[in-house]
Amino acid sequence: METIEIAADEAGIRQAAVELLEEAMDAPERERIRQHAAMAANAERMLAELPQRRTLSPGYYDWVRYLIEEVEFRVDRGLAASATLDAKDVLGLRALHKARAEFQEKHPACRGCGKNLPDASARYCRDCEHARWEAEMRARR
Amino acid sequence: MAEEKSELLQLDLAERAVPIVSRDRKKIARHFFRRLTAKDVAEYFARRNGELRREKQNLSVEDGDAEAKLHLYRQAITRVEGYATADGSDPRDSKAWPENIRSDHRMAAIDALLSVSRAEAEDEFAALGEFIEVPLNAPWTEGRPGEIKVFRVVHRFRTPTDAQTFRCRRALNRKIVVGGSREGMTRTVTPFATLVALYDELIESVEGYAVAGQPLTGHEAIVREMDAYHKAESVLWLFPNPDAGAASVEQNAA
Repeated sequence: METIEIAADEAGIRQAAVELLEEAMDAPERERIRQHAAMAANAERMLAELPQRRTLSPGYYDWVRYLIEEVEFRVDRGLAASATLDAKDVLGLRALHKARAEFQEKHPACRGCGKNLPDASARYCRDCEHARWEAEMRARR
Repeated sequence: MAEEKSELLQLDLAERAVPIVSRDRKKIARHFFRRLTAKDVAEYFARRNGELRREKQNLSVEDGDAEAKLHLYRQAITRVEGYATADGSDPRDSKAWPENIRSDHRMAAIDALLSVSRAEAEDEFAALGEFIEVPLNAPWTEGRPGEIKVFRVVHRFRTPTDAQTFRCRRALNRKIVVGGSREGMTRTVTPFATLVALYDELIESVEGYAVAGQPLTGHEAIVREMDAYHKAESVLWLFPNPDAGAASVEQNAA
């Protein structure tokens, strides 16, 4: 059976990191659905329909957390010299770097508030779009 | 459990006895183990590693802890006392040995052998010295009838370098996937070899241990004689989990 060493799978780490970033982006929406579900009769179905971003085996996400919370955190804050990292940590940090770039490309920042947009073709988030529309209406009056 | 302060923990005891006392405290059975080897402990660590799999939205977790303990029991048990067989024969004569001993007793005996815990520092106001001290409470063998004796021992380490810290944290987080990156099962990989290697590199001295009736001293002797489980348990305290709240994926997405 195929065995994959997660720490050496750059593409897998990158994908897991993108999915975690997207999951974090979805967090407010997920929380909103959870709150609605708490009062809904079809709560189970609503919860089952929560957006799922994770597509890989669980270990990939654990490794991304390790890279962010332990390796990158220590190096960025000068708690450890990057020279002390081994090849797998370096590969992991490179995958994180690529994942952030990919995430920014797929989810550019809203031109109003800077929040990441779910859709790359949009320019403003829903709230900013609404605020702009209201401002326009006010201006017309 | 009785805590021994002055007596030394004899690493080279021919047998370690673990008493199991009945609920009404009227009966005591005893399990006798040979000295655990590094291989025994390595296998224990390897077997207790869990498996994670994604099932739709849920994570299924299979923990190998019980199987690892029962395997260690099978490897290290030499004899028992206090268990009756129908024909009065020695339980070891049975083809089912040692599975003919209740599994909860076997588990309890191994739990007693492995329940090493961090001890309080003797003087919490003592200034920290050149070395990092890790005091442990270590149950070792039966003392008073029905009680396992707990020894207070100390491991004194040099401060780990950044590279050693990363080595340890990496080993503690290492995982493999079996059966493909999407549908495959995540398996943790035992950090035992790395922990023992780091122990051997960093240990400076120990207190409270003896071999052949003499206090255990000297780097070479400590590396050779120290119980492998104590090595792994003590060195782990040098590499605490960093504050997970300090950085997170959520912050990175913002």
